[in-house]
Amino acid sequence: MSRDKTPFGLALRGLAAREKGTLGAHPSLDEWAVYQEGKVAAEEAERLRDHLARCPKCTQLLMEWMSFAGPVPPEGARPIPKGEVEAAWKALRPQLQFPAGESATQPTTLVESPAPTLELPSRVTSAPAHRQPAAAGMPPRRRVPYWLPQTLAAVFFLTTVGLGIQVVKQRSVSLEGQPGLEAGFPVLDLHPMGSEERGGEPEDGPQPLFSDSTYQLFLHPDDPGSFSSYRYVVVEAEDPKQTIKETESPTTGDTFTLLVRKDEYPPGHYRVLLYGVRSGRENLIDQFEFKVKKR
Amino acid sequence: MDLSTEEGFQEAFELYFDRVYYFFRRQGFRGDVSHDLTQETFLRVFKSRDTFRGESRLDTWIFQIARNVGLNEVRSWGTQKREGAEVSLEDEAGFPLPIPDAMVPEPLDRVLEDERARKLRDALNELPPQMRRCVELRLYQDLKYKEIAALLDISIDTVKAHLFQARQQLREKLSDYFTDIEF
Repeated sequence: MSRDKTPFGLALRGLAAREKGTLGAHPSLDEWAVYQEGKVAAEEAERLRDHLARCPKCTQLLMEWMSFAGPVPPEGARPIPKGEVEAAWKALRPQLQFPAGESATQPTTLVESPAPTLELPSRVTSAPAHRQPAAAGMPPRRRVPYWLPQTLAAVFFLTTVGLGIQVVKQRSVSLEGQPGLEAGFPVLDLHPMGSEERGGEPEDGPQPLFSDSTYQLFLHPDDPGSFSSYRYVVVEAEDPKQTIKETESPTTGDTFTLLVRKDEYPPGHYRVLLYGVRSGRENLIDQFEFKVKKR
Repeated sequence: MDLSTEEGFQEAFELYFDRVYYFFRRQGFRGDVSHDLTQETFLRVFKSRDTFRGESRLDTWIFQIARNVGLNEVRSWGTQKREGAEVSLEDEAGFPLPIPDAMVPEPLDRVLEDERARKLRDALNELPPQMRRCVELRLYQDLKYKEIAALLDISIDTVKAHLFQARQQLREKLSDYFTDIEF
């Protein structure tokens, strides 16, 4: 018999329920944060510990706070490369609208940027200006040793021969000027399967190759803003009943961001079904497809 | 840190991005989901930045937003799977403690139950404060030694010693009422 179900265990739980109303006001999270840092006076710490011992709600809160305030990265985890944080910021930045005159940079300014080192097929077009990420205000590039570009190019060549992602069936794909290429976090703009092609045989699209393990796809629905949230489902294109992944996100602008991790998607052909959710009902609004190539 | 300006917001983003990300990872979310949730958290931070007056700490404020984002994500899974009604925050926090019907005493037994509860509270109150807290966290909340030690900022060995001694003392004091004091 577990200790919870013994007469003693039941009596303790009954006692806890009886005394629930005697706990008094719950300390604020700020108080718990200061307590956790060991910066409260001894008497105050005793009061907080007494509350904690009898309050599962505050215990839960404090344990989660300790998880948040714990060491970063946790033991055994890899630190997040600075480039990924920068890429995440660039992905988020277009969704933030700061009051005029307070912006340090002009994120919507279209800045001509050199073509990425990837060789792109001819169908690739530039994204619309309003979807271009910030380029002005970027810190100047640092000087690098003369041998570094050649080394990186060689590594890049060797790794991309085997692994890549092939994006097909979309109306347009833009890599030019996207932040991920600089930040080591490839960004693809996927537009819906074009209305011209929809229902017909899709054309083969461009086949950019990457060496990185994570891709960030910006999905641009045709009809943004008219739904309270989006839900996407990634299925195998050849067998749509095989769901690989699904999630829901509030609409936050005219894009929906999808992360694709190499290890989640074995080589194959995938379809992203994007649903708009309105009044609890889902409407299939767009489809996107991509392929992960064999190593 | 002025969140109303792009510079200030970006500074906060860069300062707390990994902390929020690893918070979600520690909560058991996969890496890509944690990344999405981190982005969602900062989007909400941005949208509600006008409500942050600096009266509370920025890190606790961001944490609370992240916590809600995580709870909503878990809820959305349940909703998508059509597995039943939404679970309230109170329930998710494990409070109030559920008492199955079978555990509710009959009216005639209630007097005896009250007596046992009173004796139990008296016996607990006679324990040294830190020992009593260890017992309460262990028995009321079913926490592990490691968790109790972290919450009370004491060593695991101290927790074990407190619980051992408390068991002995409670057995002595409550032998007329309970014969099964184990924890």
